[in-house]
Amino acid sequence: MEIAVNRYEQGNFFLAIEPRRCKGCGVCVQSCPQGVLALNGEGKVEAKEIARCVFCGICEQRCPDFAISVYKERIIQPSLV
Amino acid sequence: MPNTKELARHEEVQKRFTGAHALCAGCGIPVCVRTILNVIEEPVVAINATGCLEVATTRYPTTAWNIPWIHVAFENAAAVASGVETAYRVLRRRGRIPKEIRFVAFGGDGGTYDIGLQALSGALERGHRFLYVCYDNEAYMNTGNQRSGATPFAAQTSTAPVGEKSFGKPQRRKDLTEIVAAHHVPYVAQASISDWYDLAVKARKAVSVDGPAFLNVLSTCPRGWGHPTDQSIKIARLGVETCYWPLYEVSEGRWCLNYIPEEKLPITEWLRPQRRFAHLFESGHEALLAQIQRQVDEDWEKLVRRCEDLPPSPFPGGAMEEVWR
Ligand SMILES: Cc1ncc(C[n+]2csc(CCOP(=O)(O)OP(=O)(O)O)c2C)c(N)n1
Ligand code: SF4
Ligand code: SF4
Ligand code: SF4
Ligand SMILES: [Mg+2]
Repeated sequence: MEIAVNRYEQGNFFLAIEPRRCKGCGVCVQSCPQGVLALNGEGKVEAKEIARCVFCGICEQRCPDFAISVYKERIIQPSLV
Repeated sequence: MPNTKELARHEEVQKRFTGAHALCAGCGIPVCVRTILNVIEEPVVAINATGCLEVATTRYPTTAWNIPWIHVAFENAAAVASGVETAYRVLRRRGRIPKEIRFVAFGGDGGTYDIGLQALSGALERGHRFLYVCYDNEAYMNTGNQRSGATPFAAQTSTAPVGEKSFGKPQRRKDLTEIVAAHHVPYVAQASISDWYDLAVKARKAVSVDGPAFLNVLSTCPRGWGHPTDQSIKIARLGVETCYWPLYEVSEGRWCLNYIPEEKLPITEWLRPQRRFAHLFESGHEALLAQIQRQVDEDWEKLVRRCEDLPPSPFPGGAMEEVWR
């Protein structure tokens, strides 16, 4: 089964969201220092302003459901396997 | 203190708490547990009282815990931690355990303020080296929102209803953080899921002291509090900004405020978004609102007077919290 992962990139840095895991709690949205993230109409999180992302990893650290990964270079994070 | 990238790497190497739980969307518990476990460098053993955390992370045959985890009963997390820590200490002295291990007990407010208080008090007084974390969602949530010693004055719960002759819980909440501080343990702190960095630093300090440490963490429960599931961090933050839930620590007996709001918000900002306080905004309840504000003001002033150390400015959480404030 192919697992849907939304990937956003900025040079060498990547932010991946796995909508299947996201419960739409907004914890990442309200914790992001840059206002990058927002919930969409389906209650899933999206990186609306990826250009502002500083890849600090706070969203990844706080998500209760491990739906976000922030990483450097195109590798698959353990949490997404 | 490691930065967020280092913490993320640490979690990749050892993911201690995983997504295999059934805690509700917007629940503060996993935010709290994940943060605390990940900032601890040494191997960790978790001890867990009954409550939402225990029930929703261990649905047979699955578990969300990737570390040794012990559950015995509702009331004895601190007693279990005492026993495990003592056994460890003896085995370590005999050279049977080669490395340092940290012990972290998690309990809800029901399991800590009420039924587990005696076990906790004993463990604190005996001086076991462990960290006790109370995730305080202000009621017995797992069994359907019954009032606890942590439920605030005038909040509606299933056992403190609102009606013609009642307005929710008629008593004030007890101040557990102060009760624990009165045990003269090396480290006691109050934190909130809204202030990530503050919580992480406190957890780090707490496991570094040679003796008992205690964290009381304000933890949202959208189901019991009646707020939108996607507003938890903001709601918890309002608890801090209204001085309802001050962030402070008592380190080796020294009281220190970790955060002073630039502008203390009126308590109604904290109350209004939560359905458990909705009745307070109906006409006729103005006196109750005023009474709640007075209590918060008095408690805050008392705390400020007590604290010798004031926070460095700006608050180290800094930019992170700035966005929506
Ligand atoms: C001795 C005992 N009494 C009652 C229960 C039922 N019980 C299970 S969880 C729970 C509520 C726990 O409340 P709290 O500690 O605040 O944790 P929360 O559910 O809010 O996470 C109760 C009453 C029990 N398991 N054991
Ligand atoms: S990595 Fe940091 S800046 Fe980027 S979306 Fe996550 S929290 Fe926001
Ligand atoms: S914190 Fe996780 S579950 Fe919550 S909205 Fe963000 S990605 Fe979704
Ligand atoms: S009932 Fe409340 S405390 Fe329990 S899992 Fe749901 S949100 Fe969390
Ligand atoms: Mg509770």
